[in-house]
Amino acid sequence: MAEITQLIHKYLRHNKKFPLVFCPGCGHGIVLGSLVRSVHALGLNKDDVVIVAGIGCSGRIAAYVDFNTVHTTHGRALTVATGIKMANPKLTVIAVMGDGDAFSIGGNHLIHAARRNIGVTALVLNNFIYGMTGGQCSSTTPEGAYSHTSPMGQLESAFDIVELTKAAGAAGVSRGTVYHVKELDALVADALSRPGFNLVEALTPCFTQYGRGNGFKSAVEMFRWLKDSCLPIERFEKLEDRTGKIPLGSFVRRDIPGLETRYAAMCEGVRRKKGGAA
Amino acid sequence: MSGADSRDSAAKGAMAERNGNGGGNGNGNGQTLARYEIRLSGLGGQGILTMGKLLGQALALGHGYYVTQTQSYGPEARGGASRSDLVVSSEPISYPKTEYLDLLVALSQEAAASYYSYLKPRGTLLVDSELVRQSPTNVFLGLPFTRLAREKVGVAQATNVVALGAVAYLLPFARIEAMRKSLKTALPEKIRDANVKALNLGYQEAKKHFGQPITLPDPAGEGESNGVRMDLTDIMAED
Amino acid sequence: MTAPRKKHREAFLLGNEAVVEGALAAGCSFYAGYPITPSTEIMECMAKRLPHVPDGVFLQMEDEIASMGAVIGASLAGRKAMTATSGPGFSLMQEQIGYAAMTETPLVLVNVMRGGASTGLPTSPGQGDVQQARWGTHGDHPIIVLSAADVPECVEMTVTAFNFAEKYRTPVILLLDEITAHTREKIDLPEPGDFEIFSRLTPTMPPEWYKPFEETMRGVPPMPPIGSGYRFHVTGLTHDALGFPTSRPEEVRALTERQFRKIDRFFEDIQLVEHVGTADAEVVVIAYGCVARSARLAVRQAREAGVRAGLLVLKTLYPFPRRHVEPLLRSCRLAVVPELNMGQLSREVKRVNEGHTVVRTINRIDGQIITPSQILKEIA
Repeated sequence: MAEITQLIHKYLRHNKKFPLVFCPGCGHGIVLGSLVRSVHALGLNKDDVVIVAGIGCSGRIAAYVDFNTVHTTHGRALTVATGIKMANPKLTVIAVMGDGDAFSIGGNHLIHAARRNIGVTALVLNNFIYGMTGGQCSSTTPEGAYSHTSPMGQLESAFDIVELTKAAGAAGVSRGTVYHVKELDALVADALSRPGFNLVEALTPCFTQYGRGNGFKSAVEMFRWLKDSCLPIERFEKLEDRTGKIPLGSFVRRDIPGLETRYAAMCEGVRRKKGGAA
Repeated sequence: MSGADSRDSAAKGAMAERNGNGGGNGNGNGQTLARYEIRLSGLGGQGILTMGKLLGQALALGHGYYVTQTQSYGPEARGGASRSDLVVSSEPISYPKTEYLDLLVALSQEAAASYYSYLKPRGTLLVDSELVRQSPTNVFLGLPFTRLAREKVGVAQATNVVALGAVAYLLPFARIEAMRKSLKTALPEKIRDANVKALNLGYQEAKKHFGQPITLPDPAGEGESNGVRMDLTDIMAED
Repeated sequence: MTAPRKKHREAFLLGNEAVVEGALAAGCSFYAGYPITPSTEIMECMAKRLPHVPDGVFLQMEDEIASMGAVIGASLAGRKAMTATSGPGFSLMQEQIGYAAMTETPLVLVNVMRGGASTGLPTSPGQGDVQQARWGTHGDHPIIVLSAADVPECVEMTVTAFNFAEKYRTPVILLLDEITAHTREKIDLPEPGDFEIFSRLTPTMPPEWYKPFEETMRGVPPMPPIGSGYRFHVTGLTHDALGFPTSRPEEVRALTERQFRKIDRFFEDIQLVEHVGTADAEVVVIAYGCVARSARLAVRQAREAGVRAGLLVLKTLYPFPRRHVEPLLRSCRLAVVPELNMGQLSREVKRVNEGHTVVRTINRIDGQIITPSQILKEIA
């Protein structure tokens, strides 16, 4: 407990009113914890860490942590994060987004951030629903699931965040859940320490807006569902019947220098050529 | 931000133009020039826009005149008709576009036909005599620019620069050395020699065939409105 | 005032290229954009120039929303940053303009106006974005909107735009039109010392004392670059002095009022106009952008024809320079507002007129410039 207290004192804002805005049973606080523990484990200086968040429940995380924090508009976190990273490559820039943020309204920014491999860590809190606006379906809401805007069941199919980001060219893509906390900590820390664009999808239940309408009796039951349906990718691949199962772990680890590094090298080359010619 | 908020006295007020960055003192070769309007026109691919930029740069930087250069953009600028307009003056230029042309260079039949009506009375029409088969008037100057470029320079793409040489001769306030310098600074080394050759060719041919350069209408110095018709009831055709 | 002028290098440039010269002279080191006619030369020129500028960054983003996002991020990280666009892109940028205004993030946005609504007339001039520049993003917000009429002014007003952005912590919109952007003229390439250059003030107090959105003498709080040891929260939500979201009425009011006051108190500095023979004028033309050039010639011709005409060129469109316009409306018998739209700035002129004089508009929306003779017909 003592260590947790220390982390709370060091990384959470004293002048911000607590408790968090999150509902009882929400997994977002666990992702926040994972983020803090990863930054701590890597020994990063708080002054060098920038959290850029979007809109929604996940976006509120930015206000609580004692880093440089920017709460942007819906879907635009990655655009601002890109500007910050290019302007000052020494900073560790983390974009915290929800599924609506990252893959619906901000979907274009996400695939381009992955394609250009800007040195930003994307932490996507996927709860399959628009929580803050009151439970409307998102682009990750499973087919058939109920929400206020899919009262007869979702007709459209859901994005697979991992596959999409992989295809767009990201240096690193991984998936964890708020039930498998140790593993999630490791995935976040790994993403933070690697070059290029690294995305971590964190499955985090929303009992209030998603669970209640889709047959879950309690938040605990949703965590149990995570426990039962998610398994490490190595075991997942050996399964004969993968129905309803979700693989966890690291899916891609490519060694691609971030755009900021490649850009600096290009400028260096340009200036050296000019200097040599003069 | 000097002059951003200055209230001129009424006496000189209406005449005074901004004296900020415009900077040119208009006496490159000592000739004072009222508003003089030029249109270079032809087909896309004839290098009209490059010609406009080269001429404008030479007159603005090499001669110290005030110059505004505008051009047709977009789909109009590719294929189809192409044109570049210049206004040249010893004084700062207010209206940047051309209204009534002093010199129209037409390298295509279509251009000669479309733009002839914008020429001032006694304005000069210069055409490619082989491409413009049917001049809208019998008062015009012509040289086979395209054939000269192809046969004497060996590069058909130098047509525009041959024409530029002729313009350099015709404009009494233009100096060929400044044109040459503009050409040298603006073009890549690879094509520089051919273009200088083309410029000189155009200049010499014009000298041989046209006799004297253009005579400017009136000793200038009365301001840029000098060259514009003053009939207040007369509204431009394009209005 | 500026230092004595040295011998300058001259260049024969497009208005768009001159914007780049102005931006670099003002200390711009970051550009993010998305290509769109007729602003593209600004972006292309930046792509060539910025890699040679120390720490210069050029980015082509996936759209105009992203471009503004990157510019905001760079500005938060301490850079002088800009983007450029035209009508359709300007519409996409509105969301982020609001964010920049709310978070008081300095930046410069150049909008080269084309004709028409929607895709409209991509290669023809227009001035139809004037009201959008003021009120395009939702909610009450302060903003500064400038214009330029010729190529040397493109340099000067871009520098001014950066200065205002930095001084007042606000997005500044520079409205050009296709004519101004695509006219080539000679400029003196700016040398260090030609212009007074402002840079935002950064805090000097210890980080734990710093309140990022606190009331100050000027109404403009100091702004540290992200990563300099001052850790604070930035949000587009209505926020308190510490930057945290609030909906308490007194805090909401304090924020909005300060954001307006920081501009309102400095009208004298911000509202730039040029008077041409207005002192004794009985007919006054009020114009901006390329139309101001036509008006200049028309007014001169009217004077030669014996009409006491004058011209007020607006370099600042918003905050609307009422203190310059209103006295003229009181003293003239006719005010003429020519513009390349159906009547946008003339709304402001009519608003401050209050029955003093006759306000006549000349509106042209066919993609052609208003000619001197068109104006002359109205005033002579």
